[in-house]
Amino acid sequence: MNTNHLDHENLTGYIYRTLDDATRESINAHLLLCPTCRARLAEHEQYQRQISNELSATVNQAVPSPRMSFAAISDRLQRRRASWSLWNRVEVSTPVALALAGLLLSLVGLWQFINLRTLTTPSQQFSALPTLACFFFMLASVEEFDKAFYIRPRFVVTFLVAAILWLGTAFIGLLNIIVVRDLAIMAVVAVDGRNATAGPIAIMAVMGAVILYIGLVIGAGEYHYKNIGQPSSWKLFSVTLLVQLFILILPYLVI
Amino acid sequence: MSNLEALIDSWRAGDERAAETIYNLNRERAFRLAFALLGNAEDAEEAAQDALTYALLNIAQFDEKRSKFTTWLHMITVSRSRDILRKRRIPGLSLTDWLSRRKSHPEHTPEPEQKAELNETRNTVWEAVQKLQPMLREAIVLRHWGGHTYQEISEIVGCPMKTAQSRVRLGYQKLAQILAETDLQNTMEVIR
Repeated sequence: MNTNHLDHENLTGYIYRTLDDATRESINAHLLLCPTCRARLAEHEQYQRQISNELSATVNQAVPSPRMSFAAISDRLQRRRASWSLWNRVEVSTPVALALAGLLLSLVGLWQFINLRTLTTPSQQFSALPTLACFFFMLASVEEFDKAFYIRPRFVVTFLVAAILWLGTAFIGLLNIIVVRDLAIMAVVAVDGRNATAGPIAIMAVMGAVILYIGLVIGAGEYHYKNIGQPSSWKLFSVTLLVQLFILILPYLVI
Repeated sequence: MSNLEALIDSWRAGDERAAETIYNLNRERAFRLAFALLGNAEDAEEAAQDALTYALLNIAQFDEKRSKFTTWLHMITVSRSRDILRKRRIPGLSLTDWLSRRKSHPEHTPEPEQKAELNETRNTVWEAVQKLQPMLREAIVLRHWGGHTYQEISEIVGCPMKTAQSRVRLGYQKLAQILAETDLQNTMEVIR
């Protein structure tokens, strides 16, 4: 250390106090003997001060416009405040209760699945329980939404999760169209009592659902693309899944 | 108990005037941090307002034993600023934008006063900081403008302390390099 001059890494590390004690000690010893390095260090220190001063001078000149005021957010705070006082306990316990309900339903669904071989009646093979369990989990996640968003995950992760969710909701949307068709047929048979009119009505219902589906897939896709990683985008995914899962279990509720 | 801690307790108990005071005490600082990271007053206001709203709405989550309020607020502000930077990076591919572009909309341009203000505030170091990669810019701004410790920087940007130290050092080295290049260019222009 005493024969060679300090390199750039060591100099910047010394100034920023990022070196370990042993290296720092050895640099101190070198600086005592080397006027060249002392001069270089002084130069760096001067440079560092200049950066701090000029950056602070520029940034501290910036002042927010009057639009950025407390008045602009006080309504939101008041609404939240009201919900705190009224529903504080309910708000805290609801997601837990919903998640527990979802867990219980998924365990029952799993039990049914394990025993599937022993079941003989076809209607028993298609249980709504797993879907219902997902529905409860989604309800719990929507309830919890605003609470953990001050740190965002890495962009690649965000992008992948958003893409998977978008494809997933698009796929469940296709299943929803089938459910809508079945519901239309069930409704016609229940009202009319004849199967003959059910066909055209089902086709019309499917066409309407397909148009709505295309619009929603494109519209929501664009919204998520523009707001990727934002709480509003995640919330829209949750609400979409919630509605989709609800449509999937509708036939079981109707029957 | 410090004044800010007392205000936070009052806001937790439901005193809205305390929330207003907390807001006003931190308004400029949050804005300036976002401004330093984004280099643009309009985006900085959006990020800072969003961060302050989040912090006040979720004050129950703030744990004074773990960090200072300013560190927590800066963490939220950095996160919001990153969102805006990501938005800028995403190419503007939009069906509705394409449709609305067919209707004539005047482009947003800063007011003359704003323009003058922006020109006035520009200096070489500022321009060099804006040229840094976002994560190095965060480290440099938090260290040189915010005066945060490495521990605080690591909490704010969400990385280990050693990484925070490396980012500050690397940021400084890059900054020095950019400034040296700018100096050289200026000298060349003078010679010509």
